[in-house]
Amino acid sequence: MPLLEITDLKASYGSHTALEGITFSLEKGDVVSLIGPSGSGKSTLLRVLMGLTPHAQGSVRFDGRIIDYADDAAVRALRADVAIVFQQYNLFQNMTVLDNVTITPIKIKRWPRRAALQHATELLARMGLSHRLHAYPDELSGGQQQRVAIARALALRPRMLLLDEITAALDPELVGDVLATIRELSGDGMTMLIVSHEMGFVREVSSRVVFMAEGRIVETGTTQQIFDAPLEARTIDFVGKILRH
Amino acid sequence: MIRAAALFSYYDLTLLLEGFLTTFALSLIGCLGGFVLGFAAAILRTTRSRVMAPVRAALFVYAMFLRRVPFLVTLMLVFYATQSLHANLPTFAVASISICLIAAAYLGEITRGGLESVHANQWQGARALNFSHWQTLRYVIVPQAWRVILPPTFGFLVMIIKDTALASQIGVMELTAAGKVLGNKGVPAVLVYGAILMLYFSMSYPLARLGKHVERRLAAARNH
Repeated sequence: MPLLEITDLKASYGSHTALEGITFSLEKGDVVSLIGPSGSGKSTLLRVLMGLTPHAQGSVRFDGRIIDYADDAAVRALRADVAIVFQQYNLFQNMTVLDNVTITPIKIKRWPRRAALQHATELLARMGLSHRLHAYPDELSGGQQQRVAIARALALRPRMLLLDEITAALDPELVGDVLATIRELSGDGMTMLIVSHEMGFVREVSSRVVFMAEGRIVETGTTQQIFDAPLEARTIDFVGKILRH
Repeated sequence: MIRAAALFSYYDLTLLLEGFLTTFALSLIGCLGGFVLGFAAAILRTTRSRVMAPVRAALFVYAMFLRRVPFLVTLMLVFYATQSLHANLPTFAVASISICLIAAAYLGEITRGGLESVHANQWQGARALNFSHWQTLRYVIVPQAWRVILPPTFGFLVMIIKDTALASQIGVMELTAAGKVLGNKGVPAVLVYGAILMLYFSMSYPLARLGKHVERRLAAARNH
């Protein structure tokens, strides 16, 4: 049984169709990358999955259960299992690194404080941030902030991670550390759905790639097939342009 | 100096002191009431649910009207409204209610502006982590908004102290009214109003200092 199963998903902003006929699934431990030109609906899809943007039709199944996005409790239950990391980190600016990572377990989930603190400290150590526990987000580099954001997502012990262009806002020299972190997570068997423009990285960590354009899935395949032997003309065009860079 | 002091009789000083205490009480009620009501109004206006739509609309209209009407008019309106309802409230209560109403309208707008100044990605981040609307406000939005809310809030509160003088128009014997009475009695006007100036200053200056202190404490929260 797939961990996440998306069937015929459709979403629109006013008269503009943002997503149409999106169907694919992820098994546990899968790392799937969504690639495609800007405005192809990749980020919208992640937002719809998290219940941050409404969708018009179609269904999402997580771990066998159909998610009713109109039901607040169901969405909350989903968000307990699936965490998202944003391009702009969205760290809470009024909190230290440690508070950013522990506030949700302690205040929202009401997990024991001591255990939450210990887990957060471990995660931040793993992100190489042990020396910045009491810094504020605006005192950190973009790469450090993004690693805090990843630690914050992992602090909830999610079963799946959604990564929304998490390196897009970073200076090139900072991208490496963040990608190393994701690589490690995939090695640990974390199920991930990744939106990224870092093709080298996508190629390395993904088991499968979904190519999207104008809100639709153009082609889905194994990473090797999409990059080395794409079938659709638009995929060939896109991949060709990217690999020439 | 001794001659000047002798110009104030015991009665005069009592009147001045009573006026001072009345102004102080009106200011305190206005500041606290206005802040609490205004804050509540701003928080309610952050809601998104359809059920709350009429409340949001009412608060919007309230803030829009009260900020466009002279304080004196609001005061008269409350005065005559309570009279026509035969509520028979003391003038001090009428003045207190009016000041709270007007302060709530202004402070509500200041607070709303502060809450809206916090970047939308903070709401989004909290929502994705299952924060409720109230939890997001409490832990994330309000702490970051203080920085924007506090300076104009204390500026307005200092103004409220001065505006309490208008309460004399409906017969409240506050500081300015007391000054007028003493002036009419023949106490030299410069002396009377000089004393009144010092008394107003003795209220507004500590408030402004308190503002700076609170700003430093609360606005320490980092923000971009």
